[in-house]
Amino acid sequence: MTQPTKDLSNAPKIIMVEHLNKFYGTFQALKDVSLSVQQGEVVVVIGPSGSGKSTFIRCLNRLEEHQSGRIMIDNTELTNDVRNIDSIRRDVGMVFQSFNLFPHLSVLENITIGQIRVKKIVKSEAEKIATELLERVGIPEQAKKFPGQLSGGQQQRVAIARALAMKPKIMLFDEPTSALDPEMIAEVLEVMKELAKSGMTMVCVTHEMGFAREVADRIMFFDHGQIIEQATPEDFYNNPKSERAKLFLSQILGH
Amino acid sequence: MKVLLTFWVLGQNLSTNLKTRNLSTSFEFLGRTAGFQVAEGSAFGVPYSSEDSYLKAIVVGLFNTLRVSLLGIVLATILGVMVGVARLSSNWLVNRIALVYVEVFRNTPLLVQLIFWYFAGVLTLPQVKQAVQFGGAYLSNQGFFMPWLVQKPDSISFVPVWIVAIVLALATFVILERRRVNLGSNEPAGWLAIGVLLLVLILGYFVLGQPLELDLPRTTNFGIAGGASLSPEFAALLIGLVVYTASFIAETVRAGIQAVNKGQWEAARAIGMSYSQTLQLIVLPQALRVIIPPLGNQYLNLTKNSSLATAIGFPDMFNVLNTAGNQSGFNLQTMLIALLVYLVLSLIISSFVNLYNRATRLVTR
Amino acid sequence: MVKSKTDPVRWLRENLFSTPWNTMLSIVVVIVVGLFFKSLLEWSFTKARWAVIPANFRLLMVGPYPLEQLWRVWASLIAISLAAGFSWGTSTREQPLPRAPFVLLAAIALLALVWQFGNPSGTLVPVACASLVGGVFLGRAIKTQNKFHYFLWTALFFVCVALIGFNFGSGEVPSSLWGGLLLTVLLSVVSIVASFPLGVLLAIGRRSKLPVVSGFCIFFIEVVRGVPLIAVLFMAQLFVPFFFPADFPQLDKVARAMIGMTLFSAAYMAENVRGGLQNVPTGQDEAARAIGLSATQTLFLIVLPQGLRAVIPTIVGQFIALFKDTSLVEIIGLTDLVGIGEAVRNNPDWLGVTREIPITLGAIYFIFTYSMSLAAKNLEQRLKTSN
Repeated sequence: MTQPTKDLSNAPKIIMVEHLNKFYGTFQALKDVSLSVQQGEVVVVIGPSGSGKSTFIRCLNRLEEHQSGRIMIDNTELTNDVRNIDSIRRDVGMVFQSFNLFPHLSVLENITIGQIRVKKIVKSEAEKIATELLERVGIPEQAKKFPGQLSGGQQQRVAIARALAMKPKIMLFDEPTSALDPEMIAEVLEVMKELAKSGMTMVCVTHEMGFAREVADRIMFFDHGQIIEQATPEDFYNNPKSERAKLFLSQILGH
Repeated sequence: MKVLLTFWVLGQNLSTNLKTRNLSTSFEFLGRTAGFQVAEGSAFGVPYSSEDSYLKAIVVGLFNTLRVSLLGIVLATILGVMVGVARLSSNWLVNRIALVYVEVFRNTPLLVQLIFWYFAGVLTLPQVKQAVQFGGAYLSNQGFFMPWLVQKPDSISFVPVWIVAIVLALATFVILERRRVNLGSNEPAGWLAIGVLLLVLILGYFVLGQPLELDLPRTTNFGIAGGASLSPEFAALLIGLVVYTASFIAETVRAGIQAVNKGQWEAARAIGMSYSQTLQLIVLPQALRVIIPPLGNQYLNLTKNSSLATAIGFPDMFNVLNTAGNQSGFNLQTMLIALLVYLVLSLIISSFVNLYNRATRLVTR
Repeated sequence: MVKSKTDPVRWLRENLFSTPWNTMLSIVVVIVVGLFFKSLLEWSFTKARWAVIPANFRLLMVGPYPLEQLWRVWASLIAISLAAGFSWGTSTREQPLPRAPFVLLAAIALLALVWQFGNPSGTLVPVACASLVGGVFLGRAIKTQNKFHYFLWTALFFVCVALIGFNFGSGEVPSSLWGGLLLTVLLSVVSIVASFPLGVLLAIGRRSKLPVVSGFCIFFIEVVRGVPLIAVLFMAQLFVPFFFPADFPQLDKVARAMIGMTLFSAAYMAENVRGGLQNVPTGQDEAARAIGLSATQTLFLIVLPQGLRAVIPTIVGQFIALFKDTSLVEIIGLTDLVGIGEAVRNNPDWLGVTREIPITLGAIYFIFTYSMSLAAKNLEQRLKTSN
């Protein structure tokens, strides 16, 4: 099923990556990666483990440092300058595979702490925004509970709300459902789909093909640190062009 | 079965021996005159002389132990936290120097360190007449003397002013922090609180008619008089205990901070929080949970280790009890008192740790 | 091609001068440390009387041990080197040999040969090094079971203790003449070995259903852990004779100190073992009982082996701490390493060596303790991966 086609022809390029190289010691994790993402675009990154897809996405908010090449987020270059990094991070939200909620703070506090401490928003205002977000992700009644009391799916939805509270321009998802029990994956994907349809620019590393087919504008296939193939979901899943993509798809579709 | 038999035999031996050696198990000797001098310290502010009872001597010793332990705990914590944070510094020099410090002082016995600080350190300082001076303080082989604020005779006690100052400062801090979170205001709560503290102290000083004066140490024909003083034994014991224990505390602090899941750092930085905000609001609260129990253990160790004062002649409680036991012949009783007091101190510290643990438990299903 | 290695200038920039704060910090640290080392080296090369160490080396190592009986110590040392090499060789059979330890051993042997030429230690130290190396190759060549090594070390332990003290017809060496590093090592090893079974018993007793037994065990453990070691040592010196009939030969100071240290160590050992036992999943106990093993059998065959395995690193840590704690016997008058050090320091012939002695003692302890910690980390790694 294809989504109603978005008109991205006039959308500015909000992420631009040029000749990105990243090394861990002598091991090269990313090889000469170049791409751009337009505002409002939903990009799904897939590939075998060790292909560099997580490394790539973590470079986008400087959780990993690149050795050469350029990353431009909303026309600002991502460099070593600490102030620059912090300001970019406010515009880029991230959702982690292991949720990483703050266990000593309540659900509401998890969502408001960034607003209060980083954006200097008044507490009452922050709580209002937080409550709206909790409704948006479907769990408003959990506001006063602590992360340890929630299920995995609920925790991940709180994590998404926490990232959204900062009103980012881009949302990065690093395998958001990989650590969840099967019956909880759907509730998180629902939230992500709604987010995509609302026009958020998203870059997601995920294995969930149903999700990709439904909302992705573009699939990027990574292998051994390089982008092997880029295509629309339809084209990629039905007509993979490269050998490696074909091999990969046969492996995950096999079972 | 064999175990029980062994115990029975030992118990039998013990009782026959006690009977034949005519050892009493009473504590009445405590009331007798001690007949020996205790080099320093006082019981509840009342000085001690050799005419006083054994009991009083022991109490003086206990006070000495508490003095050096409490001061040691505070100083060791400060130093230990500093070194622990330094161990995590991105500055290679600072990081490695802290590492050397920790490894050197953790891997050598405390006794050797104490011998060094006392015999090779404090006692090798110059004589009183050529004492090392800096900032008005005198460091000599007869002890450390430093300027101290003392109550002028017949003046109003300054203690209430301290209490008022601290209460007001804390209140200021709490109120300002609340305002910052609730209203997003930006005043630096910490600095303003300190300002309030100083303001109240200064005002109180003048309002009460300047009841304090500076007691400066000065050289006299008999040595140095005035100011607050630390005897060489106390100084050496304190330095040794602090430096040794701080190295263990540093490792505990480092391990605690590193124990916090790296994902917590990433999540906080990802929403734009700065390094210090992350440390203060997210990492340290979680790290403290891991740090406090072993920290309590270190405090316990410091208190027990203060008994090594025996080796350098500082009259801590153990030293005094030992002397009292040998002098009076009632070693059994003095050793029992020692056991009891140290056990009570251990229990007190352990309960504080348990209380803290209970109060800060993470809420789970 | 991107340069992935860091060059010196870049390293300096990133590690020392990355921010203004760091730069200032680095400069301050360099100045302070520089001054410290300057005065340290100045003192070390001009005013320090390092000759006190070689002059008293034998005393520091073995205390007042009679010269003509030293062969016993050497024999033990060589036997231990052989066994250590053997065990090490067996444990690293599958891996290639690292070169560094052998270079180190060769250096030590050479140093001893040259420095002590003509003296017994000039030949015996190289012999000990050689036996270590020989042991390694032997261990790699012959295949042996773990059990063999347990027996080897247990037997070696008893043999060495006997060798060092007992009468073999050519005189004996009473424990009052044991001193220096020899006494320190002896005290630590005997205490940790003896406290192991005692600690395990205490840990088991603590879990007992009989209130008398568990009560006593808890009482003992908590009391001993709550008081300073020095108190335990003093009490051992004073009261151990009370537990023996009046006509029993008087236990000497060293024996009483050993008893004191053993009891002290046993309490901590009991807590470590208790931690290990708690971590054995209850499923193990249930499964064992389900196939019909009795409570005692379950304990000794199933639970204990697993529990003990888990706490080996902690026990090694305890040994290292105990090694340092033996220094306290100086306070009760024994001539261990620190005791000898103090005697030397107070020797009127060597007036003023207040700093050289503690520094040397510190260095000796440091070398031993640090190497033991490294070995412990190594052991922990291998235990983790072998599971």
